Amino acid sequence: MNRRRLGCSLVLLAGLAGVSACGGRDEAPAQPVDATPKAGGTLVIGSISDVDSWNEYISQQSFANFLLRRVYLRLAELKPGPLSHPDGYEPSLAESWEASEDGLSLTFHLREVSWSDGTPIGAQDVRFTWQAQTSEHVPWIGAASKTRIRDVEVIDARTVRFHFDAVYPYQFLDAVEGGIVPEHVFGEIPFERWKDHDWLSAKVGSGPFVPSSHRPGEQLELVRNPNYYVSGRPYFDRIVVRIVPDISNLVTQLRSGEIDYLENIPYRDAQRLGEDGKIVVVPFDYANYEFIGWNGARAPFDDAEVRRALTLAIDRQALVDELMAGHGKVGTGPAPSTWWGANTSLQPLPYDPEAARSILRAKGYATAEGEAGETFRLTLLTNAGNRTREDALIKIQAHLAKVGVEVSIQPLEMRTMRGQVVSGDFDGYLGGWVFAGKIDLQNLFDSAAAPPNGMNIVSYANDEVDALFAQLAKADRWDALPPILAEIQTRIAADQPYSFLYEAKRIAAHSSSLAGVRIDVPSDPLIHLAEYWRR
Amino acid sequence: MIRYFLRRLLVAVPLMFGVATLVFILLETAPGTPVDQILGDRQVPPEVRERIERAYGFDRPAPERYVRWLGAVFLQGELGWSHSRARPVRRALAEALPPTLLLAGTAMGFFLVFGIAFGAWSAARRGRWQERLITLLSLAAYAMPAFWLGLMAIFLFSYKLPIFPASSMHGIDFDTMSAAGRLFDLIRHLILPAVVLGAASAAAMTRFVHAGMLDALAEPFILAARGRGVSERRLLWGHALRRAILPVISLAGLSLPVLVSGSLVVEVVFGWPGMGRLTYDAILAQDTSVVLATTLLATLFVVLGNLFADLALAWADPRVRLQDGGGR
Repeated sequence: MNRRRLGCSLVLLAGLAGVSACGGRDEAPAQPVDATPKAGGTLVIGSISDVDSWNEYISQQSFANFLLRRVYLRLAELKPGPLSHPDGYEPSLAESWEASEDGLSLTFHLREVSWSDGTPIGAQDVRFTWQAQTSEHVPWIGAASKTRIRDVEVIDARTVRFHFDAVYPYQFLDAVEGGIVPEHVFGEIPFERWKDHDWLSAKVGSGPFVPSSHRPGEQLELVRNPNYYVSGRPYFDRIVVRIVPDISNLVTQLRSGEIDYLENIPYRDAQRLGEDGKIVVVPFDYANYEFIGWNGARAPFDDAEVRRALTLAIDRQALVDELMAGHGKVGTGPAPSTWWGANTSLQPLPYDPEAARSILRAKGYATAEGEAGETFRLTLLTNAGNRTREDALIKIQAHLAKVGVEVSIQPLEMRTMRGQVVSGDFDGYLGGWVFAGKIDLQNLFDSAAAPPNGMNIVSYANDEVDALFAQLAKADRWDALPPILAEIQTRIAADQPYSFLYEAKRIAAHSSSLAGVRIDVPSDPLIHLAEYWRR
Repeated sequence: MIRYFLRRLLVAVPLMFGVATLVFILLETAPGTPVDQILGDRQVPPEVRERIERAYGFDRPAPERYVRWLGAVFLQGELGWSHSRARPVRRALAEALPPTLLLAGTAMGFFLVFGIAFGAWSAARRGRWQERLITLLSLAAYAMPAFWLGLMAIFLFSYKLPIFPASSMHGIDFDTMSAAGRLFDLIRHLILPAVVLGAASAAAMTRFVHAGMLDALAEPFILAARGRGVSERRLLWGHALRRAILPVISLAGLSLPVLVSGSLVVEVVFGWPGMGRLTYDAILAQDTSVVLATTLLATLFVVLGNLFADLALAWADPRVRLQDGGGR
């Protein structure tokens, strides 16, 4: 291994990010020329879920996490459009960084900024945060990102060094994952009591907003952080989140003007909402895909050709058009297309019922009434209550009927379905994955990753893919990853352990009086919340 | 009467814990664990999943968790920890109970007033179009599912005619309002959900009172009173209603637990931060501690509701004697 070359690779990566740092987060991005942003006022957001904890490392809710990212900044933040480079980051709490020659450490230089209560943000906060992230008592969902960090060393008040156990490509991602929390506040509570503590009392942050009040199940409020390091931001003085578990009620409130911004708008409502010009509908990419997982441990779903035939027989574009009003795209393979590591040359299998029939006839199945052969019968599961999935199964049932496959649909309560699928008692199930942070295909498709060792629920096994995963795990250079990942995706797509159905966009909508709304980072829809303002 | 009251309360204790044990068993037999609910469609490595299970005690066997919970409740008065709300269950209940009592109490007031008034009025207009109209409206109100009625009420009175807020218990600026402003704001938020919650009960009460009034108006004492020259108004509201209202007292007592538990749908539709919402969120999150605590509380309401009905009836009707079996 050429450590100097590795060091150069990491320095190059750091340099790319460091160069962008010259533009500086302190200078706010340009606003549309037709409007001058106005500061002040209250933004009202609707949400079906509440914040369960004001501590990012205790909270289990995605929406809470998006808000907490506005309170506790990371060392570096995601840039929009990660397709053009490896997960691009721009400086945030750290203004610059560099890798060591041997590639075993990353040093971050912090900005000279302070917490909302005036206490300077320092290297000790970073080290303390790492200690919390790796504590056995803290049930953080993202804990796996820190397993290869051996130590976090305080060099001086504003310099901190991450030491890794080996040279590997994800060092930077692992180091910056997770918001930095204030040691002088969070450190007063022992880690074993973190999950029992009421963190609203903290009310200290580094981001554009800090929590102000919270009526559980009803409303929460964040106010501007006077010490936020980006001058002139945020524009809004106050963010109020109204919590109502019924999306129809929230859509009505958006239409009546009681709330300004809402995400997860049902597709059936999205089309009507923008008709009168008072509401702006914003479809945005989300790192997800939906699929039918075929039980690779049960015949005939253990036959890749049969799985391929089933995919060919499903009109996936029609699903996108009819279920999501076109807000999505046909799935191609095991990674969402919004991911930096996605194999962009991969094409989805076409909709070709004739090809499907040929394959099934060759396997001895009758594909039309009166034809010789066995009738192909299967049962598809999904979680009851997910309207889109239930509707998708009805359409898929009709598509497969055209090639002679008789499908029984069985919507089940989520936990019941999960139990049945994990125990291997299924033919196929319609499910989906939502990705945040690192995407780990090995956990889904390595033959050794069957439950409880991983999430390879479909019992997929391919020795060549396993070998590629092993090669991936040994890679020590960032630029070595894409070709291996591309090959993995190509082989998995060829085997079709899943029928990759579609990647759905999510829909947000906001009052037309709201300006500056941008949703361009798939894993963080509220990343530009500080830029929103009211005309 | 005091002895009767205390005896009934004592019987409630084993009843509450029998119900809680049954609920615990039902929750435990549900497939999966709370961690499945926490993770949803997010994929995490097995070691992270195990860490979450250990942190919250989900790795302990079910009998051990139940015994720990029983010990905490009996010996320390602790109801446990809510992992879905990240706070003690006691505090979650203390936050959720007052809104539910306010909503249920207001709904009860609505259905008693309107149910009795419309039931008596329609009985007094027997055979006329007013009786038929009230009968039709009460049957319609009784048949409408609460969630649909709630959504229609929001559509009509929050969107088309923006008179009432569509959700929540307080306005956005509640904390900065004057005392009078807060009261007005609370009333505005309360009206729609209380009317929706009380609608079906009002309809049932109307039918009950209507039938009771018709029976009472056919009694010989009414004929005698009419013969003595008592006015029709006094006959109706002073004599017949007093007779017809006795079963209403029982019904009102029995309605309290129904309102408290039935408020779940209304609280979800209107975003009302009460016990129903708390229970709903806890069931979805498999937050056993919260579900057990709300079950205990709901059982207590059933017992108290029945007890109230018995005591009130004994007070209202001197012919009633309370017996140890709880019967009349």
